[in-house]
Amino acid sequence: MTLTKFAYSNLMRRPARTLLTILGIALAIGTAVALLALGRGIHESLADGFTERSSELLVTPRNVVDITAMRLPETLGAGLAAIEGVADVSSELYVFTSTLEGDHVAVAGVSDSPSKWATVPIASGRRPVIGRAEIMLGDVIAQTLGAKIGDRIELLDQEFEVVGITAYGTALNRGVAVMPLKVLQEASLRLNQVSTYSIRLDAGLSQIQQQEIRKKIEQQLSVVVSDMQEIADRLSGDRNITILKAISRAISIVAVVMGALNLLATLLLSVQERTREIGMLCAIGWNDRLVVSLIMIEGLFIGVLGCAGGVLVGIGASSLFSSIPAIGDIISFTPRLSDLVLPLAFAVPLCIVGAAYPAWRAVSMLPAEALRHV
Amino acid sequence: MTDRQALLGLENISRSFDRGRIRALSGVNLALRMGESVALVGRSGSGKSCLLNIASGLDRPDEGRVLWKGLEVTGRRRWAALRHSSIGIVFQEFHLLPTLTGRQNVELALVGEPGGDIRGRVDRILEQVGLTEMADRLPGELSGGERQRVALARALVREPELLFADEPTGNLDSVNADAVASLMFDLHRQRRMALVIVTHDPSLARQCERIVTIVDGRVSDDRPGGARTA
Repeated sequence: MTLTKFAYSNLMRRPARTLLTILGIALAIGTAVALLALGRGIHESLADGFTERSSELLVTPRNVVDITAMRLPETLGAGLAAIEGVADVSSELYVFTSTLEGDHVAVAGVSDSPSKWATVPIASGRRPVIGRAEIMLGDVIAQTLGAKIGDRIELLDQEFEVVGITAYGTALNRGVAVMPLKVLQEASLRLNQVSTYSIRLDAGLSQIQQQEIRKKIEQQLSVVVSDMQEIADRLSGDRNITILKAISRAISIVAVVMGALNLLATLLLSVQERTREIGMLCAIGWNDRLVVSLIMIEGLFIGVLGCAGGVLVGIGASSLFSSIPAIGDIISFTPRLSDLVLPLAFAVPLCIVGAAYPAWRAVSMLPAEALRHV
Repeated sequence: MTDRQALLGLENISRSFDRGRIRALSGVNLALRMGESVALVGRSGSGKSCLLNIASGLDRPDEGRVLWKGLEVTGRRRWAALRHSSIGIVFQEFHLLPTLTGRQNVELALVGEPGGDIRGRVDRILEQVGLTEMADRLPGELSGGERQRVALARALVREPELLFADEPTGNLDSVNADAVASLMFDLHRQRRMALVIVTHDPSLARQCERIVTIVDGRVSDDRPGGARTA
């Protein structure tokens, strides 16, 4: 009989309680993993969305992180195009509006350049004709609005004909409606305004040359030039997203602490129930170290299985959320190894404390007292 | 009395409970020599079991000291080491774990022992107490006498120099009580280990070399028993 075997047999004396405790910890860790995956998913959805729309550099105003609040003059396009090393300039306007039924719709106005429109993938239908009140919908927003090709929808107090469904793959873009820039500027009363410029640099430039051009644009035109990852990082600094991430982290910590308390309660109860038994072990020559080791092994056994189960629950839940349209269509939800670090970094020490306290309680009593315990 | 070496010494031991309201032991002095058998007798509540608990380090005295081979024993760690190496204890209530077999209950006393012939040691002691055939049964499948023999095997598997038995036959019928007592005394003689029995049973007490009577927490009488001094 080894200590580990004895610890295992103790846990198996109450299999239902042991299993429920493991499940409790697993759910706590799983919740934490899923919530952290959510926080990261929001950030990655933004990055993926921008990368899908453009592989170039994005020019945005300084000190603005809300994309719908970004304003740049349309005249800036000429200034950008004049800078040496800039091969192509296109612009977009983003507006957040709602239908008469109250459904929120993000609308992107794409500049009238055919090369820009060529980057808008088509699932069905066609692209809007420049100058007409026509619109393409992402498949998710089309489903949300219940709209199909040929339908007319009212946005910004104006009717638009749905002429196509886009074939974007990212959650962000699948929820966006696209129309010609001029049409959106007129409908949203933002004439001569755009939200961002996309620029493409000359081919064959070195990294240093690219950096120099970016710096030149920023200095001359008082704007910020970012690649897609940088713009996603900036947009993640949005107050709402920051609050959402903070809430995710806070709930994760609460979940993990609850899991550890679950372990503590189970082990305390188990030690309480086995007080006489622990007295007997002391009487037959067990020292405190051996008794503490026994209870710690029991705690770690539950804790390790709970954490491992939690990782599986977290990955499973994230995958499940991704497959639920109401969630997965809005946020990409792919758990990564990094999402496990924070919950496990909290859970492992908490499980050790959760096991150590009952172990300390077990050996803080005189053996005779323990043997008399009823 | 022979000139056997001192094994355990209790000097001026006092112990009270309930914040001093219940005085269990008052200034008890007792010396035990190697290989000696002593019966502690007295009425219920006289302090016999309390004295045994203090003598085995399961409880701490309020006053006085316990000596092992002339050296004072203090602290949980020292007592645990002593119980591990030199002291075995048997209780009236057996204290066997119901989910472990007889063999596993005995093995519990050897948990943490480095390697060695653990299975062989367990087999030998089970054979000595006559439980080889029933070693793999759970305590619930054993009679009271068999359970006490498992407890005895557990206490003796480390080959202690001193065995404490607190009412070892108190929960047994007369046939099983005689069998367990006879086994205990046989092993005491074979192994030359000291034996301290707390008992109400006069016939059991008479089998010891000394009979110490405890009255109201004091040693009131210390006289030779029926057994010959080895």
